Formats: sequence, C-alpha cells, structure tokens
Amino acid sequence: MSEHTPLDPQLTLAVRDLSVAYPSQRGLVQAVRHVSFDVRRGESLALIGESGAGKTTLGLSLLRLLPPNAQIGGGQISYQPAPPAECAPVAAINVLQLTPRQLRRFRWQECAMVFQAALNAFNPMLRIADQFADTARAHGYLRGRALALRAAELLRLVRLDPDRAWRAYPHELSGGMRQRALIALSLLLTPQLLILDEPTTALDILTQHTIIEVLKDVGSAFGLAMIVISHDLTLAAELADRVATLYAGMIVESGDTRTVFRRPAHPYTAGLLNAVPTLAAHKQELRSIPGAPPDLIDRPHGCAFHPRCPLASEQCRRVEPPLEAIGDGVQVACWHWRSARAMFVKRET
Amino acid sequence: MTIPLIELEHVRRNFTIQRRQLTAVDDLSLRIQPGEIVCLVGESGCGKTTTGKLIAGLLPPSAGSIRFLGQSISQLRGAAYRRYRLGVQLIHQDPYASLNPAHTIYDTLAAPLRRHRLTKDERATRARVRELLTIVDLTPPDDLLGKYPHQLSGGQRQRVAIARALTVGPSFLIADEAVSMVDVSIRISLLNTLLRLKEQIGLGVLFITHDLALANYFAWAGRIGVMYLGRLVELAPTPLLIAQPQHPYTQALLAALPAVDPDLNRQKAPQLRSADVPSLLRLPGGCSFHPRCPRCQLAQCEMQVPALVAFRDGSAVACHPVQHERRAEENSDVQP
Repeated sequence: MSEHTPLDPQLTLAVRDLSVAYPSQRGLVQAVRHVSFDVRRGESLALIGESGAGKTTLGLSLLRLLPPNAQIGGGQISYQPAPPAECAPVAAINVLQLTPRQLRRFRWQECAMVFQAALNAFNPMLRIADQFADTARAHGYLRGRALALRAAELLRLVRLDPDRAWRAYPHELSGGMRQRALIALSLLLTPQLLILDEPTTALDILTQHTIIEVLKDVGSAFGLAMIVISHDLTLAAELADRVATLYAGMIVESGDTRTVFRRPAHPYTAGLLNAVPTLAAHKQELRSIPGAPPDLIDRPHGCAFHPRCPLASEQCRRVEPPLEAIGDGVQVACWHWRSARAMFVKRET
Repeated sequence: MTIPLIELEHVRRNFTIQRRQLTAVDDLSLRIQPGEIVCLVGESGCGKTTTGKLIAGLLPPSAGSIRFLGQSISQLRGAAYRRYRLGVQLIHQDPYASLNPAHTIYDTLAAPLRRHRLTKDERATRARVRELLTIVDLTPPDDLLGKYPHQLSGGQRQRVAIARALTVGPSFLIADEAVSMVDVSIRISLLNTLLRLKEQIGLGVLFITHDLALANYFAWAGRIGVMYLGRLVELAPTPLLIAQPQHPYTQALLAALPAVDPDLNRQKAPQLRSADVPSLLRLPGGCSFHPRCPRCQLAQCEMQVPALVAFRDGSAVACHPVQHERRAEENSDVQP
C-alpha cells in the first residue's frame, strides 16, 4: 500500500501528524511531535528554529533517511507527483509505506536533499564528473556525452564554469562552489521537491548571497518546490514564500513570510526576530530570549515555551495550546497570540 | 598621547603549505587603545583569526612588530612577558571544544587562579570563582560549580569560557567568533555581557566575526576593520563605516547583508564582477580585490598594492580610486 488517493493538485507534499522519537538511556527524545504542514507546487517553505528544535530530523524523515534507531511514532507523509501532460491526477505516494525499491526511485527522482555540510557530501576521491556519473548510473539515467551536456547545463545554472568544475576534485573547489555543485547534482534527475538543510551555514556573506540567488533561479527555472531548513531568519526572509517556526519539535507558527516576520503571533517567533542583529539594530532594542531550549525527554507541562515566555499564564503552564488558524493564512499555537502581536508591533513604532 | 594597549606595525605572517608560501596576513598596522573595541570583519581565509593569534602571542609574526603597552612582545622576558600573557586573553569560537570535558566548572576556573597564585588559599579561590560566575551572569553560581561542561548549554559554556579568560585579570580580550556557535536567541545577551564587562573592567576587546550586523551591534562605540585576503582594506569608526562605506568590498559586504524584512532584501544587490574569492596561493597582482571590483578602472589597481591611507574624518581606506577622489575632495575643502 504505497499509493493512495490524490492530494489537492496544488500540493506537492502533505505531512500530517508526524512524530519521530529517539530512544535514549533517560527515555524517549521526542524530536518531532505531531507536525503537520503542506508544501504547494513551486513554493518554498522555510523551517526555522534553534538547534535541537527538530528541524533536521523532520527534513530527514521526509526522505526516510533517519538513523536506524529513530522511531516514527505515527503520522503520514504524502507526496503528489507532477501530473503528466494530460492532466489526469496521479495517485499520491505514501512515503512512509514505500518499499526499498520504490524508495530508491522516490529519492533523487521525486525529492532530493542537499545536506548541511557540503564539504562532506561529496566523495573526496571522485571528480565532480564521476559524482554525477555515479548518481546517473544508479538511477539508469544518461551517460557519457549526453550526461556531460546535461550536467554542463546544470552547472551553468548554478553559476559554475563547467570547464573548471566538471574535472575538479571536491577539495579543489571552495565551500560556496562545492555547495553550488551539490545543488546542481541534486537537480540531475529533475526532482519536484528539494530539501535543503542549512544551505548557507558556514558560508561567507557574499557566497551566501550567491547561493540564495542561485536557489531563486533554480526554483523558477524548474518550478521546484523547496523546503529550506535553517536557524537563519534572514535566509528565510530572502528565500521563502512561507515560514514555519519549530520549537521543541512542534510547529508553533506558520504563515507567509511577510505576515509572520512583520506581525509574528507567537512569542517565540517574535523573540527570535528581536534577537537578530541588523544594521539598524542599535536603534531598536535587541533582546535575547531568556533561558535555554527545553529538555526533549522531560518536556515542560502545558506549552513547551512557557518557561521562557514573557506572556506565560496559568493556562499556559497547564494546557498545551493547539495550532489554530487565526486568519491571513497564519496558524499559531499560543493562548496569547493577540498580546504577542500587539507587543511586537508596539516595539517597532 | 597615551601608549596604545596593542600596536601592530606592518605585520606579516606566512605559512608554508605543501612547500608553497602563503601569506595569511600582510602589512597589517593597527593600534588599539586601552578600553577600546575593535571588530575585525571579513570572509573566511581573510586572516582575521591569524591576526587574533598573532596578538595573543600564539603565532610569531614573519615580519613586522607587535607591541603590548609599548614593548615588542618578541622581546618580553620574565615578569614583563608574564604580564603580557596574563593581560591578553583569548576566547575561542567553539565552547564545546574549548572546555576540558573531564573537569568540573569549578576546576576549570580554579586552575588558573592556583597556577598564577592569584588567590591566597582555597577559600579565597572558591569565593573568586563564585564572583567570576556572577560577573558573567551565571547565577546562582553554586548551581554550576560541580557541573561538567556536557551538563551546560552552549551559551552557558561560552560564559564559562569568558569567566575563565577573566580569572587572570586581563586588560585585553580577543573574542574569535565567540558567539557564532551559540543559538540566535541568546547571542545578544552574551554580547551584552561582554559589553558590560568592557564598561566595568575597562577591557579592550578585539572582536573577530564574519557578520557585519553583529560587528555593528557590538562595536557601535568602537571601530570596525574590514579584511580581505590578508590585508586591512578599510578601518573606520563603526557608525561611519556602516553609513558611508568607502571600499568597494565593504560596500559589497553591506549590500549582501540579508535583512529579516522580506521587502528590504529585494531592493539591493551587490555588484561584483566575480562571486568567487581567489586562492591565497594565487593572489592577483596589484590590489587583490581588482578581479572582483566594480570600480577597478585604473591601471594602478592591477599594478600596485594600495596602502591603507587615513583621512580627516577618521576613516582609512586601501583603494586607489577612492583615495584619488578623497584627496581631491580634501584639497578642495581647504581652498575656500
């Protein structure tokens, strides 16, 4: 049973109630808890949050690349392949039920991932050309000259000089070039969905800028949907159509980037925005969020954010707030989102 | 004129990599006064960390001299050398690697106090350790004394690293990317702690970062130096550098800086002729920025390395076209 009824044709991916946990000596680490979100066709979604928020686990689970000790506690991941030209709706793929054989096809051809450390993602012994050939061979794709032509096209798209990059070993390329080569490789089998885990972390500002430009080009050239996982709010602001804030393994706020960043409704999103230094920041009051991220084994009662939240009330300590739609396509899990919004707006003026 | 706390004069540092010479820092001159904040900003490989290590005495310079309170550090011996080594302390980037995992926080902080006989007995040591933890906002201190680094969060560890640097009563701190491994939500409070220490103790700080926005926040009352491929290309008081960047490289860095406001980002774009930084092993001749520079027109740019020239408003720039313009401006200022 790896196929089921088609999704809304506008969607590429629908995640429902997904939970992932890791067993440890002290108990279960609940890295992802009851997460639901959609990715529309050609849309980019940013998953933002601090280290330990469950971002990477969530990203890996979409491709079933989790480490063997991870336990998927429940939920559903449905992927809708692009409809063929005749527009007949194609059955959606139930990612959690795929057989190993189907999974191999799903990875790269439907959904590709660009990993966090581009340094380590390439085999250091192989030239870039061989890395492309390797992937192509494993999937019964182009070879020889046809492959080289296709790869040159992709390398040019990511602003690399094919003559230089094609014969190079990974160590001969700079961090930014390697990251772009990796993006080119991920596009080789024309996936519909690209997952990027911290694509600009550890890169310099000018290089980051290039990567962002490249991703925008690539997104529009292929009508690609993207999920960008990052702790960097500015990256989300530049690249994403929509953002979802993760805290302690749960989505606490989601909505279109402009609305969420202009009028955050969750105190945590507002806190993150208040903590990012910008060039105008010395005029405003930059503030850290007090306290530290919660223990994922022994979570605080009620809302997981309450020990760090300036708006926490008795209700927050007792009852976990559900993720609710509050209009303008924004969803938030906070009992006091109205106060949170009012507080942030006041600070701006 | 007061004696600078730290003075670098035409400092160069070479490394040999696979029998090839590489110059990580070249012709760097910089004076830091007591209690001053200076930020070094630049991309990876620009020599900012090497500069920090040179000042801390962890690497000897290949050429040029580094002075601490007027005395060349390579000639310091005995008590004077000790005063320098205690006076200049380094905070490392990675608080997960810089603390010994087998030592409790108390041991970590007590060791330098004992080694340098800064406290007279164990009771005084304990009191001093408590005081240090309070200074870096780790309160109540008694909760932390018996803990090991793995029991602390990244932010707490970095605070312990700061406290350890303060044990020996330094007058100058070098913070090398000291907050880049710490979560966004707590970076600002860490920076505020450092700023408060600067006020309270009169510490001079060299803050090394790749993030101009962070430098802008931290060094608002100080200066920012921008490095490119081993050279200081611009040095100016922070408000001036941010409002009126002179060097085309600084301008590009500022333009590439993303904002959290989605609308602001779409308005700007750095204009560079090439996205990729040349290798330090194959540096371009003349100004090393010229192959990427949108303003490079003069033959001079390809032939001659521009020196860092200071102007009247307190800024200093190493760029031929900018220097020509500014000289013309300053001369025309004088005439009327």
